[in-house]
Amino acid sequence: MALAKMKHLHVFGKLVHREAILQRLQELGFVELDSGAPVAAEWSLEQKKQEEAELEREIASLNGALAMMERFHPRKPTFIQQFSGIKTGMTTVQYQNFLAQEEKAATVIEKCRELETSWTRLENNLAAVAGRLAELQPWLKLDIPLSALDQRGPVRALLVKVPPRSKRALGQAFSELDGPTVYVEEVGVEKTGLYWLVIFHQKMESQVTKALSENQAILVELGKEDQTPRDIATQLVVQKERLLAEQERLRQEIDGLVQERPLLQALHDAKDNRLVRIRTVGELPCSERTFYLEGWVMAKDLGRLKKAIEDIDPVTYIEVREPLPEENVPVDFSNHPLIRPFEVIVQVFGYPKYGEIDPTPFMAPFFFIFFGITLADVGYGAALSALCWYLLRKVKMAGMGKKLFQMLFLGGLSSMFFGLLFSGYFSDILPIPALWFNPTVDPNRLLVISLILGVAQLYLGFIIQGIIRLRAGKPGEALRNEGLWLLFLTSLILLLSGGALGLGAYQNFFTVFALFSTLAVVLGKSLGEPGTILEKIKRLPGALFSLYDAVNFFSDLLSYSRLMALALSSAIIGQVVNYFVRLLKPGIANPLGLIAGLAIFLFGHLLNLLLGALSSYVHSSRLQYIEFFGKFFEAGGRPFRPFSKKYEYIELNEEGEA
Amino acid sequence: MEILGLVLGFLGVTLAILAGIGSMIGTGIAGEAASGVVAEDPGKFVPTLVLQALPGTQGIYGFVVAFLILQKLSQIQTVYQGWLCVVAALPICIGGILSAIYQGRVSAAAIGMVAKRQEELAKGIIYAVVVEFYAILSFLGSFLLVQMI
Repeated sequence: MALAKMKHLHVFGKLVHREAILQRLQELGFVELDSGAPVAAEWSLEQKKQEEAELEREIASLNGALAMMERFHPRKPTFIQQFSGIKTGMTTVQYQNFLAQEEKAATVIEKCRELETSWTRLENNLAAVAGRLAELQPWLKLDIPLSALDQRGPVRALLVKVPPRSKRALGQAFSELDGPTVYVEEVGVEKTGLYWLVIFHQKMESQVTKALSENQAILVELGKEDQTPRDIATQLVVQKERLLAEQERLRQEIDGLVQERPLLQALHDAKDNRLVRIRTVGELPCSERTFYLEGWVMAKDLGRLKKAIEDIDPVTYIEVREPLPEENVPVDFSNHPLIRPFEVIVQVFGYPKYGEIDPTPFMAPFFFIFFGITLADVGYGAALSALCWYLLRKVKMAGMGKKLFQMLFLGGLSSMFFGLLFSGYFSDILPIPALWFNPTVDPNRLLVISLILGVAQLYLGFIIQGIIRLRAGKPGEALRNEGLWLLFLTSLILLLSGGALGLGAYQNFFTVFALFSTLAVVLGKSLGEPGTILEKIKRLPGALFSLYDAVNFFSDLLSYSRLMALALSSAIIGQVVNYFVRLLKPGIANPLGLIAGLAIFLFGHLLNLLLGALSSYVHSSRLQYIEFFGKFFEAGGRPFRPFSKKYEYIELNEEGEA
Repeated sequence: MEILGLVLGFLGVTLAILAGIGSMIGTGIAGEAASGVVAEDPGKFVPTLVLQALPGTQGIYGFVVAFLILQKLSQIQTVYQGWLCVVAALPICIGGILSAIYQGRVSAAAIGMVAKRQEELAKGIIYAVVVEFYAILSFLGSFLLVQMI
């Protein structure tokens, strides 16, 4: 139990088998490679830069095509996938099939590139057409071809945009000009300006331009086509239709291509794994004929690992040794399947160091009970367990996520159990009497139970610390620190609560007991530890002061009252929800009340369940982290990260369900 | 029946409901932070929404206490009982307002964390729920006091 045994591994093999062996290691995922091995003088790194660059390029083009598909057809995550990430499921057979279709993938990528280029060109064209149309829009009523505006004989024609406020002033200015009349036609009117065609005699040109610029009129250059603006616009609209149809065709073509997305995803992940492998191969020291590899492996996998390597080449040299004390050994858990889900709580806190006690088996029963007490309700527990069971079946999870939901599933069972004891059926919807007692009626009793559980867990913490000291070969320290301390705490608890426990008759004995244990702790801390007489006496004040640690113990203990608080608060909120439901008098005769009542029931209890489950998880964890782990657990270990295959886009289903 | 007693009872209900002020401020702070994150990455809507909703519970606790006091109103006979209602509402009123504001700030910081590392969402929630515990204690204090009226 507890932590898995690790072995340090050295492998010397023939250079020719280097890649085959690493490939096998990656498939098995048994070995964490130690890349920090120093290279001896005669050894060198043989890297395959060219192959690496080639793979990088292929992966980049796959990524490009996938990004293009994502742009036109974003993968829509379901509610669960928002948290877990989107992966395409496929069977190993399908995966292998995809890997064999590399040529097809190349055409798909090429097609993607072409389509993207055409799409961009189309968009540019469309933008140009739309721009020209917008430009022509105000001039649609101009019924002469644009080429007619060109200089012809002594007559000049101009298109101008006049700000509305200058209309009068400009008209005035034109009428006051000295010479042949200036002809003005208003072709279009918009909020931002008036669109005028101005015709005048050549010799008036300087005067007209002056009047125009003084009145903020802008000259408009529309082009020189031999057609009226309306004709041009009509043609443009036709052109736009054509472009849009073309775009639609492209979109359909892209739709067809998106069908091939799993192929690209599979290839991407396969190539990515190969790239990682080639890079790792490049980090292995090599001589002319051999390569060397160093790493960590779990003792239980050793047999299979050796066999796998020997299958490739029986003359590979494999050496295995125990970890050295100064080595930073990676750790992995190895617990009973029922305990395993609770590892996630330790993982969130931090991995144990190699050789340290794994707190999971000691913590798991307490966590299980705490979760059940804080969410003591048959209905909530059943709902939570059912939800977790559904998610575990529907969503492929691995590692911490899977453990978390398994743990919540167990927590739901515990909730159901305590719900039976405490009569929680969606709070108080069913009038079934409690098997033990009802905390909302008798909260004090639950408080006492919470504190008793707290004493049990804190004592266990001290005992584990004592065992750690015993194991380290320091029985004296274990006795002086944890042994006497537990005696002292017990005496204090008896002294303070003996009356409440119905042991009032022994009060005198408890007083004497407390005095003795206090003396024992003080003497143990000062005189018991090695040193000269003078040193021992000097330690006396410090030892006296250490009694103050009892305050810490009781503040830790009071922290366990949160179990009662959380249990009560979720029960009460549930009661209020039920009160509202009953207020509506749901029944067959009152269908409206039935519907409204059902809605309130579902919404209210769902909210309360979510809040309650969250609080239960967090506060049950907190009691482990701060109150329990603080007594003996250091953490700071390094998780075991074996060299293995990783998939970014896809997910392999061994069972064959896609 | 003493009119002043009833008025004080009403005051108790009002004070309890006002715990929602904290939730308004807390969810407001968190919501502002969340909008900034979602502007950059719309895919983070759901995780940030979870964090934004956390400071909302104090309002619910206040409402529940208000509701419990409301049921006691018909039994109020004296001014003394009216004062009991006011005092019973104080824990969730004050505790709810303050805890929701601080929880909102923790949530806003956690939303900032989710913006950079979505996988750490659970830890952000845990930080916020630690603050929540004191709102639960306030609620429980008020609840136990209401039982004594």
